[in-house]
Amino acid sequence: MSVKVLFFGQLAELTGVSSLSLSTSDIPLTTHNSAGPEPADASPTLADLQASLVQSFPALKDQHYRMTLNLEFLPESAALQAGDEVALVPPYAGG
Amino acid sequence: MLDEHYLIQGPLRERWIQAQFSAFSKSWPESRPYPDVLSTEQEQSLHEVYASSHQNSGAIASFQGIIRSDLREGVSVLSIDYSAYEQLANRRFADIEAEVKKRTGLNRLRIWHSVGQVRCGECSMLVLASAAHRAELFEGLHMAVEQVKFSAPVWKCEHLSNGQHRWVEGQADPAAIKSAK
Repeated sequence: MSVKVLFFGQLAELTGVSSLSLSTSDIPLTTHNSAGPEPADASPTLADLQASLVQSFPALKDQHYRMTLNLEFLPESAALQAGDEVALVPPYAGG
Repeated sequence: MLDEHYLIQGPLRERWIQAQFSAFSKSWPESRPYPDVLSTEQEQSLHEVYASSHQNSGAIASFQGIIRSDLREGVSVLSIDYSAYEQLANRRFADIEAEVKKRTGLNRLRIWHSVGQVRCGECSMLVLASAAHRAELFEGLHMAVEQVKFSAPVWKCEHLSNGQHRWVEGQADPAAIKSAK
């Protein structure tokens, strides 16, 4: 099972993908508090995913966007589980 | 596949707009001139919405958002490609309808927005509203249009007469909208 990541608006063009799947085990736990060793079963967070995406798509670094987790705007400390849907959502421009 | 009734593939064409208007403002049209974009179930559900009592509506108005050519320095907009986070957009449009009705006293409010390509001069957004009086009608219609433009997860890419394209810079921070709710 993996996490589905969706890219919207100009972010899809910038990265060249509109969606991708990432296994949670492939997301490095880079942004966790380093007070001690990570527990073996620690879940990656939205911040970890973001760091991993910026590694893969450096152009994301200069972009303004927010992330949703299962259709909700959550803090970047939110933990990811297999089957989750994350979206990178740039500022809206409808109408 | 587009679910709900809020997002329509391509431009909101004249015939479709007329059909919505006719159904919204009066009884169900005899000819049922509904376009191919709606399934039988969707027609049925629209019919139920429209058939509900609206005896107290003394004012009805619509807003149609039309693509401008926006000529600047010899370059004009030929068309706009709309994209949306469909699940979130459908949820947001439903919320806007409920919120605006509650805050302004509209009797009815319906919103439709295009996804995909809409050319210059065509309609990409239709909002219909009814109320007892014009004051709450205009207030509610205005509020609904602003909310659609600034609080729905929709994006647009303009295709220009010089062959280039450009993403229209969003003016609203999605998270700020969320926290303001």
